[in-house]
Amino acid sequence: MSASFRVTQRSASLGVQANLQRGISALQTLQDKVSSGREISRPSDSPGGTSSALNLRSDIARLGQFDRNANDGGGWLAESDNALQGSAQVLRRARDLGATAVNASLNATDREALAVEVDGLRGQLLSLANSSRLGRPLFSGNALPGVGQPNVAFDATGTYVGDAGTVVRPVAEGASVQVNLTGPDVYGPAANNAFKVLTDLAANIRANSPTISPTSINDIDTALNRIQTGLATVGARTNQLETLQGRNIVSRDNRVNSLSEIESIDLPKALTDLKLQELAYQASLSAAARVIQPSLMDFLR
Amino acid sequence: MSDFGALSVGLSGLQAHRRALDVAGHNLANVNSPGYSRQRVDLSPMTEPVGAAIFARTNGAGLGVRASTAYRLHDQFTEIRALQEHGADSSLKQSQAVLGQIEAAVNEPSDTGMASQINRFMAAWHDVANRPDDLSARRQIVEVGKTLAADFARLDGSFSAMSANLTSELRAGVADVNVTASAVADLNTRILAAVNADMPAGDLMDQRDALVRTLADQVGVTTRPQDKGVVDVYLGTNALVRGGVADALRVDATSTPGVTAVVWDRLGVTATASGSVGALQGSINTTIPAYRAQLTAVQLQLSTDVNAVHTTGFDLNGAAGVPFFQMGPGGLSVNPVIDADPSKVAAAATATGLRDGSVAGRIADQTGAASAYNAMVLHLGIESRTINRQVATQSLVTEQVDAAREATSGVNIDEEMTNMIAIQHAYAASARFISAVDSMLDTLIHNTGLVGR
Repeated sequence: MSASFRVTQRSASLGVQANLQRGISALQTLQDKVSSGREISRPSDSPGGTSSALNLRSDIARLGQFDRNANDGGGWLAESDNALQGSAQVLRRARDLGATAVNASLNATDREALAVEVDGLRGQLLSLANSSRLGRPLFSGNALPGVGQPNVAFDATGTYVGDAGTVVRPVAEGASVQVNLTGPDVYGPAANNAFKVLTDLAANIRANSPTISPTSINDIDTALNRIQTGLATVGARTNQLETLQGRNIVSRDNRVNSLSEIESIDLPKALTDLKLQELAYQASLSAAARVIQPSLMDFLR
Repeated sequence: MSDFGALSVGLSGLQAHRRALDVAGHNLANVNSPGYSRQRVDLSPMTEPVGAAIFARTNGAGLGVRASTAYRLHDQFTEIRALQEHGADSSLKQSQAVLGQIEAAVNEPSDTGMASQINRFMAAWHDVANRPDDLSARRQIVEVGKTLAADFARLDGSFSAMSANLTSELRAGVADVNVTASAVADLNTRILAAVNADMPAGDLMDQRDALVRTLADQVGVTTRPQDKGVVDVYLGTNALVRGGVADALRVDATSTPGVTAVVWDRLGVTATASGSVGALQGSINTTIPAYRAQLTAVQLQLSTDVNAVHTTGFDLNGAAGVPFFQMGPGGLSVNPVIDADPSKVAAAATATGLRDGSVAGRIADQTGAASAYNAMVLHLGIESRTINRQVATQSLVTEQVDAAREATSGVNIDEEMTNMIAIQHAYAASARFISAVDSMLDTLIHNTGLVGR
């Protein structure tokens, strides 16, 4: 209001009202911020900030999902590791039995006992190879059995019924880890897989033909090597997955921090602002009391 | 002048100051009346007619004082400027209120807004990718998709409800304008009658001007002063009030589909309304449809992105994927075929490896809809922030114009008190003059011709 204006009681009180209104509205805005703890509660508070906040929220949701994917993938790898460790033990035991069978001093009953144990080991190996996670065989690739078909990677004859599909988990921004190994990868190709090797071994033991046993034992070693390679692969992938997951968690935390920097109030600053605004409001109230009060009437008799 | 003439000189002083005191009292009584213009009486000397004649009988002393009819102190130009600024002010405030409502409906950034829903939907595709052979994960993506579609529909519904509310507000506003315009016409008639009869019309004019200011708030009018205190009110180039005749407006929502127009009732042509009515019209025809269109574009983007990937995949039965979403006039919806049988969600990349989830994973990577929605919120934020700034600036300007108006027309108690003191003294002096004349006459009548008695 320019000084050359003629001032009236009403204009003075209107001016005071407008100032008080501005003061209390600023106070209200600050109180809202402090009580809600949020710097941005609607897009117009900061359009750029809102846009960043939306992007960050979407990033956080995606990175959170990556973390869940990594946990799921970790489960796959851990269970594959279990199944493979078990398979390795089974094959080692079978190798021992094979080595024992080479000893020519064994009689038919002993051989039959060994052969029965080898048959049992084959059954164990088959059940390990058909280990499943949440109803899905670990080593069957992406194959889905048809109606009435068993839900396995290898059927009772030891034939692989899965496919060569890969199971991949995106575990960090732009990074995926393959979490599965297919049956042929770890149990060998159809022509000479671990089950056939054990079947052959049992047959050899029963046939009392020690001359064939070394071949069988070599075959077991080959099968064991495949399992060991599979274990190494699982270990390497677990390592890679954990590294990526760790990196993912760090970048998620960074984004959570950025979001809080954008969306949440700086409390000391907000409280100082609030205190200052309160002071300004009180000052304008007391000024108002003085401006509106006096008139010539107070000074006439 | 005769001897008794002096009494009437004193009387004129009493009468004139009495009237001046009445006006001061009226001013003080209206010190807080909004729109009141302070009034004044001008005092002017009464002189005997002076003719150039040999026997002119005036002694040049005058016949006393005359008080003019009370008139109001009022600046037409400030008034015109105030009309403009008030019109702009109420228009901006109305637009601000509408954008505020849109912001409240959109409710971002939050954990419950559409952005979070879109994120949740995308994340649910990862669950399908992790367990493509799990029917419950498929059922979940269908349900999340349905929830998302329902949320889009709800937001769009709140926009459309907002539009309907604003339309009834517009109708009420236009009805109000018509009532106010006829009241202005009526007051014009009465002012003309009062001025013709040389009666004081200041209070009537104040009332009329207050109504014209209301009109300016509502539709943004301009005024053209006419003779004898009458004011014509124009809306654009057409007269809303001409003298004692008011024209009427009405809302026309049918002539052009999708456009709600304010038209002249008689002519049927569009009226150029600004003020709050103009802002309502703009909100109904432009602002809200623009946000609805953006929201539809977000849904279309989502539907296109998801379907484009989904149809490259194969469902759990090995059949090629059908579109996951449908876009109808009511917005987004999940394909009922998939809703009826979630095994039709196409997660696998080939028809042979059906436990593959890579297509679902690729759907989860789609970010088009989230960016489109983000852009819409950014646009809303910028538009709303801009109008908040404009409102803040405009209300300062309006305050200044009001202050300028108050500086000319407002009542200052101190001034009126000072006037009252001056009037009181003048009144007392006139009374004393009458008693002096009385005393002179007494001397003349009772004490003359008594010499030697």
